Amino acid sequence: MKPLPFRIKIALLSTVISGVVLVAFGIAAYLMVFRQKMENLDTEIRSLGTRHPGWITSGRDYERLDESLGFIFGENHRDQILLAVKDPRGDVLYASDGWPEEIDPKRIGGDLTDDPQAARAARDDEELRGGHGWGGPGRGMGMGRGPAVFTKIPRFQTIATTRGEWRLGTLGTDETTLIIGLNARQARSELNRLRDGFLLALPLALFLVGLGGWNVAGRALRPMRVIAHTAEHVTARGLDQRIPLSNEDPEIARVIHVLNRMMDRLENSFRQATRFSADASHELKTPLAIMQGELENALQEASPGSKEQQVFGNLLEETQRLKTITNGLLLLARADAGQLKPALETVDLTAMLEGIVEDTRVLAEESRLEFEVKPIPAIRVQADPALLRTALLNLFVNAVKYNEPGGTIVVELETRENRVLLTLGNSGPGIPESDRARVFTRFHRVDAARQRLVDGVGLGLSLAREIARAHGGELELQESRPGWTCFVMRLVAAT
Amino acid sequence: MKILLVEDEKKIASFIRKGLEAQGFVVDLSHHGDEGFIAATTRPYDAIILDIMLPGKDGLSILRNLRERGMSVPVILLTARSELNERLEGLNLGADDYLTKPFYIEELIARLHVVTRRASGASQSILVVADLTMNLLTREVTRGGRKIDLTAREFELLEHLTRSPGRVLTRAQICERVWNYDFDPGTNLVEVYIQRLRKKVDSESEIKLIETVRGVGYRMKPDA
Repeated sequence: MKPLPFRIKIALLSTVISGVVLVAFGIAAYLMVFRQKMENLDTEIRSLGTRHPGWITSGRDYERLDESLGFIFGENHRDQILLAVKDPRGDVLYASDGWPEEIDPKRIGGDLTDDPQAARAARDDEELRGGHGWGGPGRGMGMGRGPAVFTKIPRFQTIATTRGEWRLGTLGTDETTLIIGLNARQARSELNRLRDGFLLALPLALFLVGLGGWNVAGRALRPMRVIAHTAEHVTARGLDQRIPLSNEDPEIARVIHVLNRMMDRLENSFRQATRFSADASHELKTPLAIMQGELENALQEASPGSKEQQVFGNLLEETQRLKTITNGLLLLARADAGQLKPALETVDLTAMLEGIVEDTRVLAEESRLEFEVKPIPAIRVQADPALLRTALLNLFVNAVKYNEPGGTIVVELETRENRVLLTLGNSGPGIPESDRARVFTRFHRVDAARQRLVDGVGLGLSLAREIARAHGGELELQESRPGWTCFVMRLVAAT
Repeated sequence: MKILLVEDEKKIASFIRKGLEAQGFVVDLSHHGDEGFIAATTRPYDAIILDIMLPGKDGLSILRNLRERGMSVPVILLTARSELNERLEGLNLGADDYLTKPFYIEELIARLHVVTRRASGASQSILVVADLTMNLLTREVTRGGRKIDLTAREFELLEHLTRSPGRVLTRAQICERVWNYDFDPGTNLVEVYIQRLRKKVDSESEIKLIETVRGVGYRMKPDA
């Protein structure tokens, strides 16, 4: 799988992290607010409970208490407040009209534990007031008019019914247990609003965070893009390009500095290599030119048919061979220095190929090779005609040289979209597996034992490949087995 | 024909001069760019052969200055480098031809003939050896009045031989000139074409014009 771009990764990562943090925060806030709301209700329940005057004993009194409590909540108080009273055995003494059926008052609260602190406070209070008259629930049936003092630790719980959610507080004395319920609907709906608001804002926040991550990553990557862009320029336009150093961060500046220094060195060695090929051109070609010229003159001056003339003739042919090798090597040196720049023009590849096939036929007559030329379509390419001819000729000569007498050579030219494929197969003995990787190596000739039979220099294929590459194409060994070896040259068609 | 040769490499200058003189050219030699330029502007020549890398004024500046002065004398440039832009610059500046070292004298002579013929009109467009006539413009070939049909390659090969009767041409020379292959395919390409040419040119005549020089190459029978 292709790795995601850095920018997208950063954006996703920041979104995920912020999402987790925000959701956790949201849940925590929700729970805290929920608790706060419930505590508020509980406080209210407590304060309502303390309105319970100690003297109330009978069911009718509880009804009045219920009404007086309901009065606080106004008209629809049945939806707002509930009251139930239990005796210490747990029997229900009173329950409001609207007490929901789903809730069994008996099961609410259960056994409350004593609150020693509250009990002591109640006692102290009583003593302070003279020991009578202020009987709270602590004194059971006392006649006190003060607020009730609950000696048990109150217990609170939330129960959902069809009529809404109720917060029920169980407040107890030794004698009576009061269950006061308050509708938690409002608290719940406030909470829900909070939750909905959060859920609504979350995607927007995450989107903004993602966008921010994307932007930050983009800004952080900008120097990288500049570096990549410059590096592309370096390969495309020449090595004199440098990455501009403009108040970047120290980390980036370091990378730029290192890269620029590397390019300095590259430029240096490339210049040297280029100069070498230019110098070598001159230094090698001048003596060659002299040899060739002198030999040519000597050949003409020697008496016809003489031994000297034959010697000069042989030397001249060898000079030609030396010249061919020199030209090939200089071409390769230029290719290595990235200086092999074809002089492009529109070349009628079909005509060129037909000419070469015609010449190769003549070359192949000696070995009685059969030519199988598939119909050649009219194809034109952008190429340096001299270089392309050299490449093609090398390929064809190779196909002739490494063929068996009486064998065949198959030529096929086709176009696929804007690519040109030249397939050249021969019925030679095949290239051994171990040698295939090296067929394009300079001065490499498959089967050293055949060196005497096969004339020429092992530069042809590597030269042909460099030329193909200089034209934006490629040369590959497609297949090789006994009786069939096939090279494919790819070129770009002229538009 | 009078030729000015400006070439600082003395040995190269010497063999070019020798080769050209053997073909009947009159050669003035200069080893320095400034000196060569003075010679080119003060004396009349049929053609100038200019090396590009020269002490003093280099070949390209000599050429530019000549053309700026309106002198249209044919110029052939010589260089050891085959870099494209140099080649293009030379041709843009008005060079008539271009040769990369090393080259065959034969080639230089052939090109000299071409550029001077171009400069002087069609007067030298007919080659004659014995009863063989080649018209380079109409590409008509006759032998003793009989018309001979030749392919393009055969015509070029015959032209190459006919240009310098008596001169021996090696297979590599022929290969480079006719096929423009700067390498020696090491086989019988030239032999096959020579045979074809003989069949068309020599088979019906008593006198065989195309001669084999054993162990060396081929030549056109020298004029008696």
